[in-house]
Amino acid sequence: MSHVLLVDDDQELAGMLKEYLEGDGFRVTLSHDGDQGLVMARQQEFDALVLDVMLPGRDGLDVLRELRRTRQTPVLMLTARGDDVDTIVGLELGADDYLPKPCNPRVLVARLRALLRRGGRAAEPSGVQTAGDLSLDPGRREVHLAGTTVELTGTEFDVLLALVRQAGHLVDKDKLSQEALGRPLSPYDRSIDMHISNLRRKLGPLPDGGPRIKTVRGAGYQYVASA
Amino acid sequence: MIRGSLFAKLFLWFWLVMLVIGAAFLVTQRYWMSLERLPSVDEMEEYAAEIQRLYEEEGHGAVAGYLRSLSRQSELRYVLLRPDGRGPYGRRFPDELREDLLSRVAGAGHGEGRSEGWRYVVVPVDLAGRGGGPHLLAALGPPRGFGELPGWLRLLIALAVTAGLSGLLASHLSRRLREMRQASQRLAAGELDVRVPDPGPGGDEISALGRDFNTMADRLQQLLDSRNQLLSDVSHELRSPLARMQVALELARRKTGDEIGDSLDRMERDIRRLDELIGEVLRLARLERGGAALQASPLDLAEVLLPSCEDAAFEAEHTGRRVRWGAFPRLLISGDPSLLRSALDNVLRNAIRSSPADGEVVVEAVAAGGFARITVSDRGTGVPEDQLARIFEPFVRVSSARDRESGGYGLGLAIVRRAVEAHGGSVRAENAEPHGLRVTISLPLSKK
Repeated sequence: MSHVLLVDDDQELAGMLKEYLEGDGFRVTLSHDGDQGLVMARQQEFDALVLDVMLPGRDGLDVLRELRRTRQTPVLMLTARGDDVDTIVGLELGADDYLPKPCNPRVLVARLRALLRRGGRAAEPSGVQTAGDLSLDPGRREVHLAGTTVELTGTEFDVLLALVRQAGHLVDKDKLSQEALGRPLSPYDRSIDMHISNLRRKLGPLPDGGPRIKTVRGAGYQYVASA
Repeated sequence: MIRGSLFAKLFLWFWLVMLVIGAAFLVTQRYWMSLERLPSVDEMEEYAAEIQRLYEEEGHGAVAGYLRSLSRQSELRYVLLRPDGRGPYGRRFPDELREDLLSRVAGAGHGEGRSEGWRYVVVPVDLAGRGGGPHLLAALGPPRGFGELPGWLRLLIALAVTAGLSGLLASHLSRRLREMRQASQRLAAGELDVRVPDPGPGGDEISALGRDFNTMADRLQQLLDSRNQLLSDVSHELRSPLARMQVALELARRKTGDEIGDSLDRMERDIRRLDELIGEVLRLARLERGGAALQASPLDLAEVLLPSCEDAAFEAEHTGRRVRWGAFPRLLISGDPSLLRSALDNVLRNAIRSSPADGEVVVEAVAAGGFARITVSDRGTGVPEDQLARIFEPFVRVSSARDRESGGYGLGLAIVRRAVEAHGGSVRAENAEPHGLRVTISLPLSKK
């Protein structure tokens, strides 16, 4: 049974969401403020975190920033609809996916399942992928760049894996969304673009100074196979 | 209080100007305007006869004395010269005049004329009686000031001088009023932080008016800010119960059978509508509050436009409508990509919603006259001409059939206008041929 930590200051809402999620077979722990949520997320092993951005005291983005220093637990963010800034900042800070709030709990369940499914896929038998100075180990979910380990979130790892598997070829955004987020691309969705920009930042350019991940405008992305 | 008041200023200025004009009038009268009249030919004939008599009776000395006495009485100069050019009697006069005068003698013998700025009247005098021979008596008016200028030029100078003085006075009085007018126009155009320069306490009625204007603008800004704040707060507060309703609804769905499924679906749709509306209110409030704090960076508009079109096409497909666009040129502007993106999304969404089933939305972008121009055309029913400008106002309903089902324009286009104006651009709507609405967004291109 997957154990989810739900951090939301609206106690009534959190209670109902817990009831709903439990009906779908999740185990849910609640936290109503950012500080407590952060402590719990650090101390215990959760399969996923559902994090409201608007929290009293330490807000969701702060919690995410702090958490990512030590843990790569999958995080699903709840953002106010229409607030693109929070969404973009959240994804930049390493959230795996986001849902605008108020959200339909059915969608929440589907997103959580997708995140968790991907986490569970870790054991899939596929060998180490390499492309130039980069090597990915899907078994241990580790990335090495020129010998040093790069810390990636689960979603970033999956996006990178999908790109590297087809290094030198175009991977369209819909496929990236399917592989990394477990859902088809939806319109007005910036998640994949943000994950790509995080990857670019964390990996830097190729040794020859060229871009590592190329944007093919209107189509998708391509991992540049270095010579 | 009298000192520095507008009343005192006006009073003193008018008084001063009237005094100046009066003095100028007197001075001109005295020195420039009243050119002494030249004697007529008849008068000259009389002088000539007297000279002839004096010459015959008393000789040269008497003639010279007579000419001197004539000249002394006025500013005119009386001279007597011989046709061969020798002479003259009387006061000296410029040599260049001599030729002119002599040539006249050779002609008609008497008459009036002008030369080198001098006016003159000449008559012949016959001093033959004592062997003097034929002479010429001339009365000469020396060139002087404006009197020598032609009439139209004098009028022009008078107009220019008085216009200059009046202009000085008027601009002194109206400058600050003009500044205030510009300020209130900008205020009316939505620049709420505009203020007129405050010269400090004291000053005249205009300074006081300026201070009152600033107070009014402060108050206006406070009111609008608090309205936006209220809208924003209310919207946030509405979201929480809405989020709970949504979850409660799904719990209810799970616990009951299919028999109320339709009602639950309807409730869910309305929750979603409310939620979208709240999102738009929040976005608009944020735009109005932080219009000045634009996160501008150099960008290629095509990079924003293309994904917007793609997403719109994706969404349009579900309802059987299409979005069509060609290749976009490079349109380098300075702007906030996420703000522009949401503006374009809103225009496209509106166009898709207005399209008939199976309709097509066409997006075009060109660079023209220093502006990037994006047009989005739909094949819907368009909007009545007199309502075109109003669709960019919040919550406006136009009297056409479609808004009853689509819920009017809501806030989408109001957000577009705010976002585009924050970039120094403009947006307008017009009806396309044969039918449909065309929305044009113009954004200033970056200067190279």
